[in-house]
Amino acid sequence: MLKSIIDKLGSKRFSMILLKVAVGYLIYLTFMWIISTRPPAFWMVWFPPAVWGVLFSVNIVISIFTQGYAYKGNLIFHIAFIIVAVGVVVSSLYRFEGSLVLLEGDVFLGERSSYIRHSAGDDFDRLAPKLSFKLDDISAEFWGWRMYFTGLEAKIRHSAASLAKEDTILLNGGPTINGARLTLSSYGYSPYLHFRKAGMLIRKGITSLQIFPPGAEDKLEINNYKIFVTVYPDAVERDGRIVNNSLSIKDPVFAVRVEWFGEEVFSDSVRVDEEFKYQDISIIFEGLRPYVVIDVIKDPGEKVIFLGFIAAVIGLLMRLVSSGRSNRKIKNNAGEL
Amino acid sequence: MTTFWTLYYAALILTALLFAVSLSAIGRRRLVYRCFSLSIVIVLGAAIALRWQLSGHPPILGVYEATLVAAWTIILYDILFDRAKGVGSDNRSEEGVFARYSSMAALITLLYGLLFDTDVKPLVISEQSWWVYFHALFSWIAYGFYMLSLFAAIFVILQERGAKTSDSSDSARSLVADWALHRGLLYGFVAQTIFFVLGSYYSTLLHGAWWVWDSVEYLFVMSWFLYAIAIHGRIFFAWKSPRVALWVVAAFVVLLAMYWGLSFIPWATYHIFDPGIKVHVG
Repeated sequence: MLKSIIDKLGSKRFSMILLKVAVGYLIYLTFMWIISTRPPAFWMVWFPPAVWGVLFSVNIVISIFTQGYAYKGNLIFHIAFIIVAVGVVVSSLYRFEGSLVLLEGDVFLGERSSYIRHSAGDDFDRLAPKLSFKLDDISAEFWGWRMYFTGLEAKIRHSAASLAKEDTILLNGGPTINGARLTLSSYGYSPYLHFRKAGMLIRKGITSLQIFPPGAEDKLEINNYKIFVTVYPDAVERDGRIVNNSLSIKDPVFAVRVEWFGEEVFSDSVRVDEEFKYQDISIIFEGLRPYVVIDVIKDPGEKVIFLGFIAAVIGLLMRLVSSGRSNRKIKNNAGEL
Repeated sequence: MTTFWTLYYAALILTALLFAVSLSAIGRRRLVYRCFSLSIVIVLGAAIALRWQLSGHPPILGVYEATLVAAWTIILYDILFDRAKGVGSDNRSEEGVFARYSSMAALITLLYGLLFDTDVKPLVISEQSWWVYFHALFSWIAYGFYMLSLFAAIFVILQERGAKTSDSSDSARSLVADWALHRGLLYGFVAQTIFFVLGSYYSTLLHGAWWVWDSVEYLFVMSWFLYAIAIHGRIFFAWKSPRVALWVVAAFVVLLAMYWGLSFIPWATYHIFDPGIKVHVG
């Protein structure tokens, strides 16, 4: 009975069935993505491949012992899948993914509350990397005035208290600190404002307004005043109108609209440090500061997975070499195909 | 840019002429076939090099640039295939056996590219990496082999479906097609695997994960599995070429959807096939 099950699980026919089932499932997923629909729960996406992966691994392990491989390359290629599977398991147990938002000049100390999201849940202390750094500078480059990034980097200093080491984080790469890789995933800028009422400072500091890219309007509410803001980061006056010259922060102008209980009470454009007043309130935009979203990834399984991938490539190349040899033999012996 | 467009249209005309020539038996016009094929590779290659110089990056951005490389790859592989398939035989009557398919595919590819934005653009940050360049390089190496395999598959299917003759030339061509079908499949599979490994490593840098749930990745793995089915069917169950050919065609349809189809549905993928469309939709 057990032997029969093992034979079936390790059979060539079962290998083919698994490949065809995988194709069917991928057709389903592709179709869902194309029509912008997702399965109701995310486990419905990853659970079927996980079950498939277990069966596929079992099929390969059994076939390694029962069927034998004519070529070493083939054997290595198939063993590579087992290595990848081990890596996936390690990743699922120990992977940490987190994101944080930092403004130019901010310091990150690696605390749970500093992340805007992370994957560790209650295991934060166990999985999160020990990490601290200071974000010194953010620079973004665009193609003309278009929302088309041609450069984005953030310079940091780290190494515990000394901040002696300098590094640059990019969108597609960055330093690895204590096993955690840092990359950028987003960029924007936020205005810094003062809000006073009857001479009293009610609010002072950076807002969380999402006003990037220019043209995007966001609002914040202070003391029942809804303040709608749009920014022109590189404003110039053309034909009596304020227009944006580029996406870079040069001479920002804020288009501000203030509502009080649904009624518009103020609407104008103001420059940095220019005060606008309505009755007993006054608002000053002190400037515009860039921010970046930094992703922190620590995944010990990743190396194992890539070890598997490299093994797969080596196996295939070995198979090609042996195939070339046998081809030459045929050619020499038969003088034809 | 004027020189670029001159070279581009010259390549387009040469490809159209090659297709016209290939409609009759190449065997008697080997010299013409060779001249046209080599001219296309040289002229289109020069156009690609010039565009690379003008844009400051390899031709990997947007569908238009992809069509340039794809068409060039198709013709180049056809020439290389003709060189390789001699396999000790003095009978060269099979030269240009796939010319009508390759020239037609190259012509359609070049014309298809004109549907898209042809402007030279700087690379977006996500594409600025040697990992992407090599990922793209191996994607075209795989594409070339799979194209060859597809031509052979079409040839095998057409032979199977009607034109069975005892003609010795047909028999030799069938052997050549059989050889191309399996070689293209095997070499394409290796290149596609390397293409995936490079892409997934770059994905860890860009997205923090080697696998991202995305339609490009689904179509990629789907085609990889379909090619794997064709390879395993032949090894495990000694499938004959016509049956392998059907799986090769199915896999290539998926590849086509991935390479050329997803540019029309940019919301379904994070890959940037055409920045113009992506920005417009975004």
